[in-house]
Amino acid sequence: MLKRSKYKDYNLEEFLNDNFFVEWVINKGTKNSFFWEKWISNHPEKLEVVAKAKAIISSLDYQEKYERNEKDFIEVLENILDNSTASKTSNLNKERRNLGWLKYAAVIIFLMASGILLWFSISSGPQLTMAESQVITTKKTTRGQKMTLILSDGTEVKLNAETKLTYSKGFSTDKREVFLEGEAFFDVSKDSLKPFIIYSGNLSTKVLGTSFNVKAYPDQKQITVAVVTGKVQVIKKQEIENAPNAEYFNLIPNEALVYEKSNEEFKKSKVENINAYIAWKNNHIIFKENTFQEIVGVLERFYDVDFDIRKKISMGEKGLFTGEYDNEHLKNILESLSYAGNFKFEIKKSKVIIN
Amino acid sequence: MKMKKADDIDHHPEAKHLSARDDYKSYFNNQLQSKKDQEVWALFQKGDEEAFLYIYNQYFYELMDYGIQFSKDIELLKDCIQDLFINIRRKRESLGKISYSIKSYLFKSLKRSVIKRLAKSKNAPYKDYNNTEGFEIQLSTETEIINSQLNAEVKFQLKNSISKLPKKQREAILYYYYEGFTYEEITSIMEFSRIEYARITVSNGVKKLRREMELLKTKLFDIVILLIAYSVFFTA
Repeated sequence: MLKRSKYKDYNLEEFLNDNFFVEWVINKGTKNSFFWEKWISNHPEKLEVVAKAKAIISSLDYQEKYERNEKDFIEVLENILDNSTASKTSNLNKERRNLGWLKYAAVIIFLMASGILLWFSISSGPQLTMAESQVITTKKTTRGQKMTLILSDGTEVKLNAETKLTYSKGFSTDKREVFLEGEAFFDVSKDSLKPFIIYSGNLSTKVLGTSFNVKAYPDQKQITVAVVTGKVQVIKKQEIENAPNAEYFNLIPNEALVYEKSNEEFKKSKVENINAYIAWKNNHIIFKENTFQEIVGVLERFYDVDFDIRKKISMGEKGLFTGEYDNEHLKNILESLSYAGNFKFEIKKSKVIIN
Repeated sequence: MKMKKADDIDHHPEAKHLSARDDYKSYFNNQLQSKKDQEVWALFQKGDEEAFLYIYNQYFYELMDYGIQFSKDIELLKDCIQDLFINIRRKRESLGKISYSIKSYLFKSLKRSVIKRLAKSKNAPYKDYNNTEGFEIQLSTETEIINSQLNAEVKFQLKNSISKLPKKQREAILYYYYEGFTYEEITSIMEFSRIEYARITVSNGVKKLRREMELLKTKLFDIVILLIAYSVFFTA
């Protein structure tokens, strides 16, 4: 620290020209902060000049700044992601003026890159393809259990509770197929020649290399696909072979698709909080305007308990509850729910009694 | 598992309402924020899309603030940033390591492409980069500088002196004090032949503002707090 003794004779200009000092002010090195805090406390007479140097540095700013606009942020990002599949850059200024055309082109390029394989998988039916491969594996989780799998292509799959994943040990040469019942988070290894296809109920989800969440419990009314990174295509299974109008949706990051099993309708939406969809994999529980019934379903799976509900419960005035929990005990969650839902609860082994 | 105290049981854990952008941030923070630029860059080069999104999320707005110093044409800036990212995504494997930081790499690339684009277009408002506009400096944080009568006068003089600085000095000062670039990075972005020139450009600018800055009165507030905190922690 002897070298630093020079600072006691420093004037304002010298402080402003000192790298070690400037680094501390603009908060780059926490290592410097230990030194400077100690130094100032030992040299109170320098307090004023240090404060002044600090104030000057931190008040400098651009006069002209861009007015932040989320639309620009998302528009540019979408164009970048759309363009990754295209083979050459073109004059983007021109394209932006014809946005409709651009989107159209992006879809065509995407389909051209992968459409043929996709077509094949729809028309021939996944079951047949699976039967061709020799070793078929099924992994299952029970209630309260989670499991992480690494598939032969390096794809990481995290299974939530009560979930079943079926796949062949070595994938076929032209595609990677898995069957999902339940909920899983996929982080798919990139392989642009072999699309990764997840079959769940009536839907197949097709990707080249991304991370996203698929929720398809057989006993639930909906199937949900939420995308974290990359691009995902969700296709509805066709009743008739070679049906010309296969219904499909392209999803980009922060988009979710909900498929209503009863009326076979799709709803695509921007996700305000993608964390809500993948929270389970880090032992977080997030409720966002959920009904009591939905909450019970989540808790039963997560904690491996059964609920015994002895009175009609409505969460608050609207019957919807929002809340977030991080590695919390079931008791604490119930505690906080019980205020909103105005109920009493009792935990007996793996049974929760609500009254 | 977190234990809750008895007296805060009646607080509901508050639901967070975040925008899409914040979501990216909170999700990627855990994994990538602790990593060094070189590591994030290496992940990006391997094709890791999270690393790409992290980089985009970190720097999009900063790049816009920076680009606007060269041109006020927002659409043009968006195009340039878009091209920049498309380009590095396409060439990611062949790009090589970054020399200093991801930020200065992106800044340098954006500067080049904006200037190139402006040179091509004829009616751009800032066609000639060598003009004197751009990189105007503002003294923003009112909180740290006392708003006294005397100060108002000094600040006026200081603003006046700042506006008289040559553009290169303003640019270097903003890189150094606002963007937090090292002299090496400034040398690279401003294409100086020697690192000394970066240092001299910054300090020459500061020298011209010295008199007004000496006269400024500032609040000692946050430093005093820091001192108290320090003495509580380390002298006890």
